[in-house]
Amino acid sequence: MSGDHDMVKLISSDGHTIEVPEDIVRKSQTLQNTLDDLAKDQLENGIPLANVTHAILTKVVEWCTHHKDDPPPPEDDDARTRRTDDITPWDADFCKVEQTVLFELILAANYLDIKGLLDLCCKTVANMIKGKSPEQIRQTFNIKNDFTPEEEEQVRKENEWCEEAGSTGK
Amino acid sequence: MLQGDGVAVVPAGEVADRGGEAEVAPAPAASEPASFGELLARTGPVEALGEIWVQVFEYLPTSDLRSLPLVCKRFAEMMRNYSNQLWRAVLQRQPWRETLPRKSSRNLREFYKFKTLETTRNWREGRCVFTCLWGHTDYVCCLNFDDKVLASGSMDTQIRIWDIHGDRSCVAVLEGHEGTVHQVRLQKDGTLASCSGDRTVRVWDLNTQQQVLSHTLMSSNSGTCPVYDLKSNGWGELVVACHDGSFRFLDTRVPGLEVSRVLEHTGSVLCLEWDRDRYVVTGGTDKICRTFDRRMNASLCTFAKHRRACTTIAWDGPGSNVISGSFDRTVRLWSWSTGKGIKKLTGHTESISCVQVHRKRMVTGSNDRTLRLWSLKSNRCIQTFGGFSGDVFSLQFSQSLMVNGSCRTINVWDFEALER
Repeated sequence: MSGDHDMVKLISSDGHTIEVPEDIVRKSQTLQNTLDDLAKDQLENGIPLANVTHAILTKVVEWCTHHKDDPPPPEDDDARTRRTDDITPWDADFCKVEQTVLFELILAANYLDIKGLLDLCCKTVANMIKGKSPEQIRQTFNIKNDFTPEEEEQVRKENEWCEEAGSTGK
Repeated sequence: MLQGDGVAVVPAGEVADRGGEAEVAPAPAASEPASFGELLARTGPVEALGEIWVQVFEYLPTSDLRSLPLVCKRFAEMMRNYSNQLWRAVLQRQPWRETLPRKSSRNLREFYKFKTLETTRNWREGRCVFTCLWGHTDYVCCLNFDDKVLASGSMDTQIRIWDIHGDRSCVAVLEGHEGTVHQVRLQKDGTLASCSGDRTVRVWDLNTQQQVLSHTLMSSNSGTCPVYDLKSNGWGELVVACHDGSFRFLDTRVPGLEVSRVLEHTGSVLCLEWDRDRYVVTGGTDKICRTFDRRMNASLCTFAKHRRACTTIAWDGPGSNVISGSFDRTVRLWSWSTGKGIKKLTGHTESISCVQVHRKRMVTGSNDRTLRLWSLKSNRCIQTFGGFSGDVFSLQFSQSLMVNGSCRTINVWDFEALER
């Protein structure tokens, strides 16, 4: 044991323990609340994270470490831009992972309440959808088409006007 | 937004018991195909999953929101359940968001549908609010706007920055170029890249309004080299079209800037466009258009149907067809991967100077002093915008706004401001 007060032990769902500097841990709103609520001796054995595997936790810590000096994201939801073309090259590289990993990152970021990471993952998935036809989206994510032709036609009709949103009409 | 239930602090003994749960959770198993679809099919925490997908959907443009409910029942259900939350996110991106009904029970989807159809009608019928921006003393050769400002470059060697979404005043004049400014591109880091007939590529800091970088391009036979077009990936990587028949990749973050050079055209390269940092399409005075794969460092195909120089080139969306305009007065649509011609559009009576496609809307500008709006379905011109003091040299439009550069003026056409 290093006895360093600034390190926090996190236990992943598959039982691995990793030590993370406290300022990095505090990027997670959920863990920040936990740190503030618990006495030091209660933290001695580490904080178990029931929903996050070791592999994912390592990725999350990697992201938080790289972004530790970022300003906090705007609280006001209306102020958030919905751009998806502003992902930095480092973040883009970070997200070059298998779909399951990306999806688990979203779940972890959501559970740990790390807004910046959640936004990044959502943007990345949005970029995988952008400009694709329903069939291409199905192929991208390996989703089965469970509509009957009649149901499909019905849904298509309901959303026909969206096509107008970008078109010039006749 | 989403809130976790907080972290359950359990005694160490119980941690081991969670092994069973970890198997049920969607852990990456090497033997299984990794996909969202599979995760979607598994029974998981439905509500959380739905909320996450909706957060993803909130980043998508309307054109994609059309496709989503058609993917599968689960998606259709999510689009229905979270309809107002989603449409609020979509609506907040619109320029008229201040007119948005706040926290009302109005159906936002219906509201947006109404607005969209109205704007489409305005485009088709040419109904808009027209504004003229004065300042340049010669032809406005290039312009570029984003959600903050409009930048314009002119034969008068100046670059001007305009408050396009506000009172439309000129907020800065950038001086330094010694020749016609042929292209300006706004970067995501608050800088502006420009290229000019004075043989330089320059980068400007828009906050301080100072030039931060100037690079002189040498031609292949050791003279200097005018630069006719410039495109950017937004992060400091540029591709430029040169007089000596080459196009070059520059990185403004490395000393010396020039990363690589491709020499394939037998005449000057006049225009180029970049897709997904990888594919480059070029057109030049040799009447040839080319597509180039940067990653493979190889030419993919050529398109040689234009009878005179190709002056402007654009993509019909990412990974889609290429549109090129020429001195031969035609606009042509062709396959970016095979070079096979698909369509020829005629109507302009002089050479084509600029073209843009945005979703299904295509607009071209010409030396015949008009802008034309085309239907790519019927291959017909559906609206002509004219009355300019000179040839149209530059153009950019969004769903609500069209901006074009002509002789001394920049014209702004606002298709959504009618009721303001």
